[in-house]
Amino acid sequence: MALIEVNHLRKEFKRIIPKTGFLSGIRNLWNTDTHTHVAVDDISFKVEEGELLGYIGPNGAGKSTSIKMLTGILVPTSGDVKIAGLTPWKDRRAHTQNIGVVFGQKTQLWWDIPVIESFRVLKTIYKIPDELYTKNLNQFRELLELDQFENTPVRQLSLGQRMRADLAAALLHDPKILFLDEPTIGVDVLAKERLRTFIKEINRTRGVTVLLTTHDMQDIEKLCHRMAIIDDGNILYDGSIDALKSKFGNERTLVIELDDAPYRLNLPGTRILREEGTRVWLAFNRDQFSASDIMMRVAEHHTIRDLTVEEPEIESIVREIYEGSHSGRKREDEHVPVLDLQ
Amino acid sequence: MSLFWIFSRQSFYQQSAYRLNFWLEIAGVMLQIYVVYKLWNVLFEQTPQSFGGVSLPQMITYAVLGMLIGSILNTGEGVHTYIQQQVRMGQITTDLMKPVDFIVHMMARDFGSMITRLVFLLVPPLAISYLLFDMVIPTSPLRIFGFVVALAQAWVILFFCNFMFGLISFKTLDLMGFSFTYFALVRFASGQIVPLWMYPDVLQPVLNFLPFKSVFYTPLAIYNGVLTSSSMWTALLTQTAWMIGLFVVARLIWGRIHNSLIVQGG
Repeated sequence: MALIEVNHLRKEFKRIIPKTGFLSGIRNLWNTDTHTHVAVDDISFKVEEGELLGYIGPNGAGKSTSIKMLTGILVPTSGDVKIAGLTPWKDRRAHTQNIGVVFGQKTQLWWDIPVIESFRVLKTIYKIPDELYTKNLNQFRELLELDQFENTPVRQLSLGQRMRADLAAALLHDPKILFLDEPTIGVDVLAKERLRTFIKEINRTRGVTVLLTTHDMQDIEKLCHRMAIIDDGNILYDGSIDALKSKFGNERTLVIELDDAPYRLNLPGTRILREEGTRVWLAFNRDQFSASDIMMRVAEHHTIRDLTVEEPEIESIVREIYEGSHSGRKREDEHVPVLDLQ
Repeated sequence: MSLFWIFSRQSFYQQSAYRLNFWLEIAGVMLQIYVVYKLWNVLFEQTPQSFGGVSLPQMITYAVLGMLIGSILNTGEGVHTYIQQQVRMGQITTDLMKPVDFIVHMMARDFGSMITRLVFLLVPPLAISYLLFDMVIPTSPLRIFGFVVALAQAWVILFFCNFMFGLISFKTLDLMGFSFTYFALVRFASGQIVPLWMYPDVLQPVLNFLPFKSVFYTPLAIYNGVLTSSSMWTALLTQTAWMIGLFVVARLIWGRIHNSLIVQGG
């Protein structure tokens, strides 16, 4: 049996439709008009023990809502989840001993007190035995260099340090599963690298199953064996990253630096991904065109200073999948990246 | 039990993190005490007979202690403000994901801050007040015992009231607006500022019907000697009944809310 089993999970929210017009502020006080918003439509997947699953999707896709159901905070409208044999929202207390959770934008540490004191509180709350606590703490001290700041109040920590402290806090009680919700958000490149190494390390040495949501495709590429892409409350892709690359990776990107920016063309078969200063990023299908074709066609109208061809990155593949899922409805601006780039 | 201890420890750290805040609070408390002291002195000299047979030192003791206990049995800040803040920031998730019963967790947290405030904000100003003013000293061990029990039970009662009040924020995501009404109601109906025996007779049944009387009036009136022997025991038992009743109601309400939870943000 898989460690995490999610079957046809669905969550609807009722939202109040705000009134507009005359005295709307007052009428809203007893407003009961609601409409049903489907945050998670129908999601099923399985995670085996020891896996490192990347769970990605654009903002508002239903990622956080599903994570909240998996952690037992939210009760789904319908569907079923079994994690290590428990239903998260029914066996809440037993479930919390099995999981560790880090929300990149929130902290479970106490703001005004030294990190180590927060750990002590957690030790009591989770009833962690002394030896285990000391063993884990020493290991995290080493891997995350906690001793640099463990006596500093959380409010004085840098974001990277806080994330390290939060990661350690989530793992003190030896959880089987670690939920990471955007753990690298807002963290600098070096600190990101350190966090990734740590996550990889605990996955490898302790066999902790990790479910990671992120907007940073590098996290996915460097960490995950497998990824699930979700949008509009449904799973669009679930499989290994290599398979994804070979399946969707027929797109190349041509980066052209122009002498006479801005770029004025709209070549058929190309798509403008990004424009920045004198540079423009053009995506094209390598089965239909060659890079030199496009270069020559651009050169007819522009003076090219420099150019490079980029291999498909997981990021552009993911973007393609997101956009594909939205092809039915119009985006306000199709060049706006759907993903939050760092 | 260790949970209560660890939160107290944590709360001491918290308190010492803002030292200036602490001194300002002490100064504020002292100022409030001085104001009520002056006020009751003047009123008492004008019409001693309207105080219902209570002596001036008894009255002053009631008023000063009412102010001081107000800083540990807090209505303006407590578990309700904590819940509201956590809910509004979407942070309540971290509290809900702990392997501890939420009510016990909140209670331990509130206990911690109560103990800290007791040490920092009750004891020193009380000692100063005794040096400055003519106040009643409860001598009989029974009265001291009654007061301590009453104070402990008062904390539990106020905790459950605050807790249930805080739960409103799960529905409304905010407490603004309700807060002021609640604050005023507790202060008025608990007899924190004006002793309940001074209210008109029409109001008495209403006050008896609310739990707030047990929060301030009972410990204060035991301390200054208005409630003695049998009336003291009745008041203590009433408190116990409120404690149990409120606990049951809080459990029920929390159970319902927990099952239909909407967590904001994220």
